[in-house]
Parts: sequence; structure tokens; C-alpha cells
Amino acid sequence: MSVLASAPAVPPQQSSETDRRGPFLLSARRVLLRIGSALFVVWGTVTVTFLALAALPGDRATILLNLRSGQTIDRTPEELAPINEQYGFSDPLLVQYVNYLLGLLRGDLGESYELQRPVTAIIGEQIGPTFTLAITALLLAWIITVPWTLLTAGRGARLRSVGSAIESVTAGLPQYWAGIMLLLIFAIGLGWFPVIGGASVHGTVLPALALAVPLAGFIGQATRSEFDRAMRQPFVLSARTRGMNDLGVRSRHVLRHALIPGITLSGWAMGSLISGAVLVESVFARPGLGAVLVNAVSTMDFALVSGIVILISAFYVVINLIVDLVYVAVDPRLRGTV
Amino acid sequence: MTQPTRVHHSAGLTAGATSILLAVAGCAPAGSGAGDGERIEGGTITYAHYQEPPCLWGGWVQQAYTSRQVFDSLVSYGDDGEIVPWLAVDWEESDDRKMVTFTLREDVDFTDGTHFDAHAVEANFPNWQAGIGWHPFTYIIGAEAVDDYTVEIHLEEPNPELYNILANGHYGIQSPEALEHNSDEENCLRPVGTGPWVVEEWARGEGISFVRNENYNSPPENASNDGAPYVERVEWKFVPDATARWGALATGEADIIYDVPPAQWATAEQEFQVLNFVATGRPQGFSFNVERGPFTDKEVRQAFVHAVDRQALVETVFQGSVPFEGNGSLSKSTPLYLDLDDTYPYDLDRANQLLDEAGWTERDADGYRVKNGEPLEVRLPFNNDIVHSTGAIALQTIQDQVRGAGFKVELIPLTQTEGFSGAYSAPDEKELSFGYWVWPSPNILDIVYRAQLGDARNGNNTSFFNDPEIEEQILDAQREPDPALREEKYAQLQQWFQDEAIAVGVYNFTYNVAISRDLHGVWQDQGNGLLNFNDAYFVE
Repeated sequence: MSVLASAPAVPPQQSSETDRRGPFLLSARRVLLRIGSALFVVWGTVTVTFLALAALPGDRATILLNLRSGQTIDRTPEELAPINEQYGFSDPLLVQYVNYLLGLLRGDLGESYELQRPVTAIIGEQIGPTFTLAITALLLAWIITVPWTLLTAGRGARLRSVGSAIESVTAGLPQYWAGIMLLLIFAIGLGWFPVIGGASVHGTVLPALALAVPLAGFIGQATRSEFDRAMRQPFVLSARTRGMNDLGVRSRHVLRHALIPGITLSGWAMGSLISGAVLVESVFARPGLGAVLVNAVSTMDFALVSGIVILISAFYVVINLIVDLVYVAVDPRLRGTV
Repeated sequence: MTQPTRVHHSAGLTAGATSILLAVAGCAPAGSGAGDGERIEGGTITYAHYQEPPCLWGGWVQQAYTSRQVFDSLVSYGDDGEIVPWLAVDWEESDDRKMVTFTLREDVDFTDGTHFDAHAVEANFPNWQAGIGWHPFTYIIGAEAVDDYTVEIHLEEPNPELYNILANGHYGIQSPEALEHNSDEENCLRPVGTGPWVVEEWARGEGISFVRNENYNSPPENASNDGAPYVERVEWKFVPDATARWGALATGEADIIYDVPPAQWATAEQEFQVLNFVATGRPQGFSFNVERGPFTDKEVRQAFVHAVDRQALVETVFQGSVPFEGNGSLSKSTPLYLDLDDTYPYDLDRANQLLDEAGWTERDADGYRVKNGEPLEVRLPFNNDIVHSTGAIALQTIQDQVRGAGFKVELIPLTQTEGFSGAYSAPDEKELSFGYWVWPSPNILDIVYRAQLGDARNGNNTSFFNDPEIEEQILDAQREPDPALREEKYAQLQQWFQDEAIAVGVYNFTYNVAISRDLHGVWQDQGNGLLNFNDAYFVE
């Protein structure tokens, strides 16, 4: 969903009086297109989720009965019949699918059959801590990456290789391991942060850091190679000849170029942080959508899985839009195209 | 009741020998040995548990833990395992022992202000029947209020352990008013009982905040505190990671933690107070497929057991902290348990001899035995939620040991979805099963060895044992009115199942907690190891 793919389709800014309504119409069409494609993405994810869960081995009524009694056994048809009846599991797949879509059109995400609560209520509860963690982690990752890149990229060979080695190591750090280490050192050892942090502000620091460090490694790698390339561009030389100092050249000119791939990565990272923080959430006993999603998938709780997937895909759409806007802010050549 | 766990992150549960003895013998007060201190009124107990159940109550043992905080039961386990009054002050059995008449307390109110009486007990029955998957094995078929404070419990079969079942936490009494008028969601998250604690808030993924029931007046007879809890609040946190739980206790953030990491057990015994409960029912053990495959032959089953050094294995893998259990049918803490630890000693020669006699005389290139061109293969699907990671190591060791006798064991780890959807539960899908069942009564034999449930196969019968005569004997033992004779009959049955090697035990399933030294009076009940915080208090 990069702007580079869609930008050329838009003509440069119209300036003549007669075409005053032009840009408005164009942007309205663009907005509609965007909304249409967003709806398409959501519909696609719902359908794929539905099919994937339907294809998973395991009978939902059996799982539900076993979960309710803590057993792992086969169930008799007599036991299964009332459950199938109650939740409509025995209806043809197409009927279940259409019923779900019709519910969606009414804004009804359905009810989690395991938790016996509306999906919207569960998501509503978990969305706050999830977003807080994801956004904090992303910000921290950038706070680590920018000075690191400015300091080590485009310098001598030795500094560059040390910098990129450290990035490779941190990018490869398993989040779970990073989380356990941070917990052992800063919560249990030094006592600076709570061990059972929950969703508190103080308790968000370590889990966010556990997610931010590997992410900073990733973003750093992408930024560094772009930074190195940009450092060899003629505009660097011309800036220097205008008497600009090294830091100015790096932070005002080169960094801008180098940020583009990192920003692209951030869009992806944000989505993955929303759903993929489950191990870190578990280490820090933190509520969040990740744990709820993993649990819902393993119990084949379709309504809940689907609700979360819709949220995440909608979120991807939004984040891509934001990424597109940020591109424009960073790269003046794209101005007037969005 | 029943396999209680879903997502075990830690490596199995461990137990110290002394605390097991304490737990088995009866009362295991946490305050003992920690020195006496001045009792502080009030305070908040932070308890780091790990698995979060979908609802506060239900048929899963995780739900018994939480239910116990909010609901009282009709009867309770006393310190020596005998049954003592709780909401019921007295009870009497009919001549055919298929009806028990309970006389109830008259001075108890639910926390929604309604009054507890016989009609409330009656109103809870449909809830047990619908909500608890294994309810039929309690043989309870009805509850009927005779007058305001007398209720009759009707049974399909005589059941001397009825009281153990009613005391176990799943049969707590809820407010009929709440059951009828509150939404399902409300009853799931904030059910109403007469118990010492009231749910203030359940923050999913974080924990449950319990506040004390200021008007609490109905603790069980074996409790020391007659009234409302000393402590004001219990913060019941869900902390899935074992390291984090241990860290929370070590830093003082939690006052009590569930499931101490095995590596920390020795430290826990030294630096904190520990409680350890050996679960009733059947232990972690082998159930051989006696319907089809090589284990239909008794000699092959016995050879398999002889080929495993079970005692040494349990000591090595669990570092001497979880007890060895030889009996495959009943665990040490179950009523009428028979000690069978000396059966089937490790004897590789005997194993080889038995297999030779059974006709498995050839070996293939890898050393596995072959008969009529068929290799001696054993498929063992296992569920990590049931055996945990330390148990999985035990299974790998077993796989390695029986290779010596020529068995080829294929371990098949199941995903959580597979486990709960009943995968690999048909006779043609496996030769061996491994697992436990928490149950407070010797009629666990009826649960795990009965062939049919109505017209369908009994899914709890993982050995696919099918012998109507033995089933009849189990029911005969269950119905036997004379306690001494009943014990004898159950002993004979345990011996028979062991001799036939239908199921053979390996180790006990345990629940443990570690408690800060300044929290006194916490105890575990003798049915499910349920925690009681009503007697708990902090000291200076």
C-alpha cells in the first residue's frame, strides 16, 4: 500500500480557476476508493479467517464441552446435539458465513462462546492496554534508532560494522527472552519496575522495551543501508560545500532519505505489535489482544477471532494511510499528491 | 475435578516430601513453623495464580479455585479428611442410601441480600447438571426441598463419597435470585454466593479483585475464623509466566504464588512457607489399549512396565519432589487407596522374557521386536496441558528405556486444539495413553473403566477396557453398605487392574503454593487443594 504505487496516477496540483472543483472531486473519489478498498480488505480477512477456522481440525462443540469440564475426550452425539443447536454449528458453512456477515452489517460482532460475552465488550476491554503497549514500543524503537543511526551510519568501516553487528543481534533477539531478561534485571533484581505490571503506566515500560529493542534493530538495519546510500549522493557534497556541518548534513538531509524504509517497516510493525505481543504480555502478566487472540484461535472461538482480525485489518488500513501521509511529510517530492 | 489445566508454561509441579505428608495426613496450616507474630487487621493479599478460567465457576478445577472464594458448600473436608458441617449442619441417609437428607443453617444470607435455604439448594441442582460435564458420575439425580431448611439429595447409586463431591468446590451454592435474573455474563464474571469474598471486578487478562463479605458468618466447621475475613481484599492476579510469579514472591509484590517453578522448589521450602496437595483420583500413569494392538496381550503390557525404572525415573526427572505412584487406578490421597508401589519393579530381563513368551521373538535391524512381520510399535499421543513439560521429559525417558526391551514408542505431542477436540482418542489411533483425573472417590474406577455411556463409547475410558463382569463388580463395590467390606472389594479391584496391567501408575499430580512468611493461616482444602483466605492474616 505504498504511496509510490498510487501517487503517479494523480496529476500535479490544478491551479486554474475553472478547475477549482477538480481537486475536490478527485480527492472525494480517492476517499471513496480508499474506503472501498478498506472494506474489501476487511471482507477478505473475515472470509479467510472464517475458512481457516472452518478448515482447522477439531469439532467446535467438542472443544466447548471439554473446556467447560476440563476434559480432553470424545463426545457422544447426544452431548453434542444441544451445543450444535444452540450455536448453530450444525448449519451448513455457507449459512453460518452469511449469518455472520449479516450480523457484521448490523454492527454485531457476535458473542464469544467460550467467554459467554459480546466480542465488542472483550475487545473494548483489551484494546487500551494493547494500543498503549504497541505505540509505546514503536516510539521507543524510533527513539533508539535515530540517534544510533546518526552516530554510527555512514562513518568509518569499523564503526559501521560494529553498528550493524549490534543491529543484527538486537533484531534477532527473541521478544520473550528480552522480556525475561528485562524482568529479571530491572523488576526482580533492581526493583525499579513492578513484576506484575498489569496495564499500569509504570508496568508498561519493560514490556514496551522488550518489544522495542528487537524492533529498533530491524528499523536500524533498514535505515542504515539507506543512510549509507544517501551519504554518497551529490546533494551531500553540495550541502557540505555550502558550509553545513556534519551533524547538520546528517540530520537535515541524509536522515530524511534514510527514514523512508524505516517508516514502511513501522506500518508493518504496528500491526504485528497489536496481535503478536502475546509472549511479552504473558511474561509481564499484562492484559492484551494478543493473548485473547491466541486463546480464541486454539478454542476455535470464531466470533472472537474474527472480531480481533477485523480490528487488526482495519488498523492496518489506517496505519497505511498514516504511513502515506508521513512519506509526504518526509519527502517533499511527494507533496500535492495525497 | 478432571484434568485441570490448559496452558502450563512451567515445568511441572513439584513437591517436598514433608509437605506431601502434611497434605496427605490432613491439615497443612501455612502458619506453622513460621513463628508467631502480632496479627495485623486488614490488608490486601496478592495472589499470583496462572490460568484464567472463562467463568468464575464450572466443571474445570481452575474454576473450583475461584468458586471457593465466593461460594460456600453444603459440607467441608475436616482436618483429617473426615466430612464436617458447613452450610448443612446435619445429614442422614435413607435405608437404601440413595437419598441423603441435609438439615441446613437458618442464619445465612447471600451477598445480594436474599436468604439461603433449602429452596436455594434445589435451585442450584439444574445448574450443576447442565454446567458440570462429569456430573453423572456423582450419581446425583435430584435435589428437593422438604421444608425451608431441609433438602433431600437423590442418588442413582449409593455414594458414600457424595460428601467429598459436595465439598469439592464445584458444588458451591449460588443465589437463585442471581441465577434466575442476572445475565449469563454477570453470573459468569460476578456470581453471587454466601462466601467470604465478593467479586468487585474482573479485569480480564489481569486478575480478579475480591473484597471481603463484611457480613460473612458461615465458614466451614474446620475453619478457625468464625466471621468475616481478617484481610480486606484479595487481588487474584493471573501471571502465566513461572519466572514472573517467582519474582513477584521474591520481591514481595505477591504474598502467595501458585505452581512454584521446579528449580526453585528447594529455595521455596527454605525461604518461604509451602503447601503441597496430592490430587485425588487417578495419578499420572499408563493406560494400555486393551482393545486392539500389541497391548491386548497381558504379557506385553507387563513387559512394558517392567522395562521402565519408574521409581528412579520420577526421582531423577522431578528431583525427588513429586512422589512416585505405582497404583494406576487410584492416587495416594483418594479414599480406599491401595499401596501398589512394589508391583512391577524395574527388571529388563523379565521384560524380555515376557516378550519372548508372547511371541515377539524376532528383532529388526534397529533392535525393535517383530512378530509375524509386524514391528512392536507403540503410539503415545500426549497433551502438554495434561503432562506439562517435566512430564514430557519423563515420557522421553520412558521412550528411551523401553527401547531396551524392543519397544518402539512414537511420542505424538498434541496441540491444545487437538487435545480439547478429542483428537487421537479412538482405539485405532494409539496403543498407549498417559494422563490423570482428579476425583475424590474410588468410583473413579467406574469413570475410567466403564465401556459405554448410554449408547456411545465412554470417552474417559482411555484403555478401551470392556468387561461387563468387572463393571458389575465395580458397581457392587460402590454399593457395598459395609465400610470394611467395601474397602476390601475396592482393594481387590485395584489389585486386579494392577495385576492385569490395564493401567499402571507413574507419579502423582500435585498442586503447590509458596507463601510469604508474614502471611499466616492460609490452607488448602483436602479435596482439590483449594485455597482458603478467610483464615489468613498478616503479621508484623
